[in-house]
Amino acid sequence: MPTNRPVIRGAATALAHTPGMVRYGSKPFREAKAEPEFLAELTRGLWSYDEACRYLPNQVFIGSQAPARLWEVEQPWFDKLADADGGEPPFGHILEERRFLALLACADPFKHVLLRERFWEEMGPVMEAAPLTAPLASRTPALLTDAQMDTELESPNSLPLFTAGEGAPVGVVKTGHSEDEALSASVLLENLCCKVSGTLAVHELLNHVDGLGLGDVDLVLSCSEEAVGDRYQRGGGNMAKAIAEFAGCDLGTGIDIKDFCAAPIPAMVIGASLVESGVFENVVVVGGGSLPKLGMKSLYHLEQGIPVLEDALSAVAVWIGRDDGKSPTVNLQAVGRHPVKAGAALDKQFRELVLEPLRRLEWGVDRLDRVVTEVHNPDITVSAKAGDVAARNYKMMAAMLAMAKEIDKSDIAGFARAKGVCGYAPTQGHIASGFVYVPHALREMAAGDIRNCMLVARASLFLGQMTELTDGMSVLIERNGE
Amino acid sequence: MDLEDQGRIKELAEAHGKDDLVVLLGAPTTESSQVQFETVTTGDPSYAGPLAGVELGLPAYHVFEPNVKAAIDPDQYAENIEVLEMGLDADAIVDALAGMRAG
Amino acid sequence: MSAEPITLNGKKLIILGERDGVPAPVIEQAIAGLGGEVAYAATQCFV
Repeated sequence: MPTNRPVIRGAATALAHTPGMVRYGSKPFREAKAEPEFLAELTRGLWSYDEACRYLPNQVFIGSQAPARLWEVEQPWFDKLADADGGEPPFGHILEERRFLALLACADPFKHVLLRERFWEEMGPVMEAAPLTAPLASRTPALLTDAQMDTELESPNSLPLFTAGEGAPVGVVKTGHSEDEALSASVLLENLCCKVSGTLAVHELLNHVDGLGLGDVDLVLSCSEEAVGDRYQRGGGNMAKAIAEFAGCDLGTGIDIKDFCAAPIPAMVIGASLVESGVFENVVVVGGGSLPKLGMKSLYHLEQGIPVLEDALSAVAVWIGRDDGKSPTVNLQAVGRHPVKAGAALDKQFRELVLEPLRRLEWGVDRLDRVVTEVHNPDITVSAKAGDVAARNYKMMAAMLAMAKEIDKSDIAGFARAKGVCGYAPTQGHIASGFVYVPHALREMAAGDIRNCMLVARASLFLGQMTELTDGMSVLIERNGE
Repeated sequence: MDLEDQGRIKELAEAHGKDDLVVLLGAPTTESSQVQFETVTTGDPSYAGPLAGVELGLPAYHVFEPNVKAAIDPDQYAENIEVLEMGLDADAIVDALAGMRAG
Repeated sequence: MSAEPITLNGKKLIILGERDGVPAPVIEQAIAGLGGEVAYAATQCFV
């Protein structure tokens, strides 16, 4: 009998390959200001769309490869590009840059993004022909002739939009208010990138699941990393509602959930709670892509002569609905939380987020089949001297469990392979924080490979300089009927 | 190392002199420990920050190093640092810094 | 282990912690009472 018990009825991903946008990532943007010749070097280090599609971590992201494949292929992966898989990607497409740029203008109701007329003439029919982009590009965006474009580009407050392979800008982003830093061209661009990529993930979700139409979505919860607002209320919101509107969820509303990189887990917990309480029936949790994090480690990558691997905006959408008797359940009895007193150390965090909920359920570690936390792509971080984040997390988690006598010390080394996942996600913190794995977890549960999966996210709150604390949350997903 | 951190360290070194300062590191990898150690001793190896080409020569230690561990109350160490030490490649970090001091 | 303990008494301390290593507040807590004065403490997050 159907109940309000919350289940995850579907999940999808969207990856927008945006090499021309890497220059507007926080680090490259600052670097180019200090050293203008940096941009030419950066451009030389960028991958083509074809290369991005043949990159193993991207193929895992869109579900064309299973995560287990990452254990089989020796790192690094950037020099082992596979053949592109011509089939339909199981979780979502890798969108080519020019389509994404065109969507930025389509998503902008205030017409701050202006496209070159010739660019739209070329892209309009392309957008219309693709099922993913057609519903989002039904209205012609604001366009400029070449001469008008030249005039707009003269403004010091505007940002030109480039494709990586083309010299002349295909569009321009104007400032939203001459005296408001919260509405500068770069902030608007960041927010629009999030809105478009998040909306793409919602549409990928709708295209990949049965039983959810645009009109069925009651509530969108955005766990993205942006801050939408103005000078009187930076971060006022509401990205979720903007995504709901652009996606066409006319009967739904939206709320943003903020918690640095951990936000997807609280968003899923809140969404599941709202379903269980009966307040909403179909909640879509969406994380849009983060423009500032593009090219975050590009200096290291360029220094070592490897490709600039942070060249894509990544997004995930998860549908939480009422129990249908078959979809994996969200176990709200086992939400791991991070109390203030737990402090910032990683072992203490994992104690609260992993061990404490297991003990609450009176589960031994052997009953947990999969635990996923911060699966950043090690190709990106190892070359940037930051090590393999996922591997480090698993080792620390295992050390904590060994100290708590939950596992044997001899099991520490094999813990990651036994329970974990090799990193593969773009370094877009909230996406990497377990959230990215939801579609794989659903697939593995459907195949009977795992019974359950714990998603663990951590947030570096100290970066915002309001507290020295970190935060985190975990949630357990279980096969229906377990 | 973060450019902001480099700027603050340079200011402190200028204000207090290297004899009054001690740098304590908590980096999780040998490479990041080495970069931080190098930055506050011989200068920023990436030549990007305020400490590029600046030889501060500050005494710097990772908290996993035996002489730091020996200074910390054993209960405090056990409570706050021991599991972190176990979960990270502490020996490699200690060896790497010892190697750098030996030149 | 017979390592000679470092002296922090009377020193000004620069603490460079890391989210995935030992965060600055954890180092500060561990060395509290050793007589050093924390002049600067920061925790890095590399992802």
